[in-house]
Amino acid sequence: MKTHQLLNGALACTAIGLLAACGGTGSREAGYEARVEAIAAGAKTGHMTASTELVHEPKAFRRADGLRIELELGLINLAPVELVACNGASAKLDTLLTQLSPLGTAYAHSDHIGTPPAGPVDTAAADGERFDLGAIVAEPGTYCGLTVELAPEAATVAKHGDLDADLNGYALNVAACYYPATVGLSDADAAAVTEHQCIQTRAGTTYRHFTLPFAQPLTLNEQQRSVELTVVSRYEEWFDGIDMSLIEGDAIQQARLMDNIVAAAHVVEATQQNIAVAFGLAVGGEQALCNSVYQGIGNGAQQDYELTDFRFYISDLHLHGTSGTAPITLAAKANGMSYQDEMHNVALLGLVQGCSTTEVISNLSIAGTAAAGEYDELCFNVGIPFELNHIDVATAAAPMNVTAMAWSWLSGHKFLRIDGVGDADGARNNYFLHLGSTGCTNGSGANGAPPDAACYYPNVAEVCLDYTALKAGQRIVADPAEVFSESDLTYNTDGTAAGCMSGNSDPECAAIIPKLGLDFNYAGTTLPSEGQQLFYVAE
Amino acid sequence: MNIRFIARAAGAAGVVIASAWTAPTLACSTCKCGDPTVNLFGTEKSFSSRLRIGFDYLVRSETQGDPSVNERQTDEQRLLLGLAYSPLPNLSLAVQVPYVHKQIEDSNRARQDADGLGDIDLIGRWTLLRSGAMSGRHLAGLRLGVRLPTADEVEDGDGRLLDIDVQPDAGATVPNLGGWYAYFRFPWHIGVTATYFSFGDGHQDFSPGDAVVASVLGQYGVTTKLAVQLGLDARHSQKNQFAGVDDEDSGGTLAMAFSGVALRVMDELVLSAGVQLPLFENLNGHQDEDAALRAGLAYDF
Repeated sequence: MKTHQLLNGALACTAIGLLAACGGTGSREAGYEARVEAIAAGAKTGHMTASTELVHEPKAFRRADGLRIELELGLINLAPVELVACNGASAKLDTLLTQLSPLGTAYAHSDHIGTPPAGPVDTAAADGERFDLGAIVAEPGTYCGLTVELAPEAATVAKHGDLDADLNGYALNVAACYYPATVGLSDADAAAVTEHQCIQTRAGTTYRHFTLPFAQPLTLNEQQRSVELTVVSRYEEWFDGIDMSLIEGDAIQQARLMDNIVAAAHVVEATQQNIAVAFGLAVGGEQALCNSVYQGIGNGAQQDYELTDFRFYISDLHLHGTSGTAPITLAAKANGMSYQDEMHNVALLGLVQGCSTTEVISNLSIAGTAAAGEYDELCFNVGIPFELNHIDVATAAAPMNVTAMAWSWLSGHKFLRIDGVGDADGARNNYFLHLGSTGCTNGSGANGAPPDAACYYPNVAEVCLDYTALKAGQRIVADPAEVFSESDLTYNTDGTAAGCMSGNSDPECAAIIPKLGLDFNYAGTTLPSEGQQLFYVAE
Repeated sequence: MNIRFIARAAGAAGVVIASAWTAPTLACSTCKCGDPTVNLFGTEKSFSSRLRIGFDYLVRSETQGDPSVNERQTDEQRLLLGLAYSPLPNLSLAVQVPYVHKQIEDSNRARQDADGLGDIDLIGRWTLLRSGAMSGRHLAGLRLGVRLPTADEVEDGDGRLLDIDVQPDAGATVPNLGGWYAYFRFPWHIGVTATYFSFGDGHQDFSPGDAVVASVLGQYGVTTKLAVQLGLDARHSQKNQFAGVDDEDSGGTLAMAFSGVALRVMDELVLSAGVQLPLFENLNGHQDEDAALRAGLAYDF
């Protein structure tokens, strides 16, 4: 506004009479801000049905060791703090630090503007119910993450039955019932268990900051002044590794719970969609459990098959449909079974520690984000990308560091490991299915060095499944029954690996690997893929 | 679901408090510090039938609000068109019409601009005391005025009303009453005014807090044409209210030093200019007043 303009306007006013009102003029320019909401999201692991009715139907699920849990109350006081610039600096660090003292860096960015946050995030509410966390001030720039905090708070929400729903100076108020006898049981058996214990605990009396990375850098500029972000809390992972019997009075267990809550969160930008997909393990249609015996597996009607291991890597997940192809960015998980870098992602699923441990741990869900759009297929590779496959397992990032899934530096990892015993009640023939790359060379043949070129037989199969059904809550079931349907699990050719370990001269593999969706070169003859028959989508 | 707002107290590291949410309305329509009629009434003794037209130009800025929550910067340019007439030797009547440009910028760089007519002041000044030789060395009296709710309510290009903070004025009726004193002994002149403003309700449920504004201006005539001025302007005001809720970042006490010059170009024309610098701030909540610039032109007919 130039002075002479002001003068002109004033003189104009005067000209029409000092007391006559001149219609004012104004303009408005939106500010830079990030609006933040939160939702609870579960992959519905275990397909449990809650046994009680409260304000919300409790969230029923099974944690990694199979313990059946019903979450009745899950209040977390989550507050957005700042957008984290991609160069590592905080959005407003420089300017605000000159104004604020002696505040710590992180506290200098708790800029809440616009409409107020609605209250603590109630993860016992319906999945997808949105909780407004308010807005944070930003400046033009490119951002790679959102810092949020678990903040002690005195707020309350509606009464949850007889439960105290106040935070009372804590960041977290959790009430859950658990069924101790359900560890190791099938979902059906676990659902039938009635004996349970209930706990309620509060935790978090200090502020806890953590940063959730964006799947893609987010830019605020003149054209894009505001963004909407959704923090997703994956409550099914909250209780992994927690001693439920101690949690009400044990600070260590409570701290672990807080760690899990932090690790079980990711952020979704407005241009993206949340991905939550559950997996199931089955043998012949029955839930796969360690050391369980299944009837009628293989090519003989009376073949008993005892399962002793079942785990697999999937990688490079993406959605496919009318909106094109959208890579999925996997969220980090506390159990380390999820890996994401700029090029690839990898998840280890199934009985991730095998059946030889005292406590069988499973990882049966993936979480992450993908570009919003219309997609009808979820696709992934069964295997590990070449760049990540042939690495020193001793120094590899999780989950590529699981030694039980490694062959050697040269050969890489077992992509799929389904171990079992054929004729479990009789001859007890070890029958192992280990899928991995073959034809990997490095000139010297030394296993302690990576291949010098791509393996001749990568044996990485792509699997595409109905995403519409998965989005509706169905899950991906891995069941080797069809894969073994032409195999005699009681027999193994002398001089070859027990079962099928991907060897091109192993006759047992000829009936198996084509059913994994791979061409298989057996003794110089290419056996074409029969389409993958390991995975399907089911309730 | 309970409504709550997490705000962080800027001076309390690590402390998050919950409080009822209030919109970040920090309107500062009462923030002017000093006597806006000093140029219009002049530093001279009034005389019968004097007609003066005055232009005052004010540039000021301030910051209100918690830097970590709702900080808002206000920049204001205010042009006052004034007409003063003395029907009697001891009575002067004046009208001041403000035309205002304001810009506010929030900490998220949201901006609003408004230009428009402000609240018009009608002022009467009576001389009740004349003491000393000639027409008096010591003069004193009362001033009575009313500010009229004439301010435009400015909208943006989409027809949405802009925030009260950026509106030209509060749009409130403001009766005001004060006293004044002047001392004349060339080359010295001292003028003192003190006025109490009682604010009514303004636009958008905004109710400015009542205020007392006082000014002391000393002038030394270097020549008959040029004078230097030093002064002290002070304001004490109550908190503003928005929809009946106190604005915690409003009101308090502010004192500003003034330094300027006045130049008589012809017998009828006086130019003046000066700068106000914050000298003392005891303002409520988060408020920071910047230096202000004043310039004036007065012409006697």
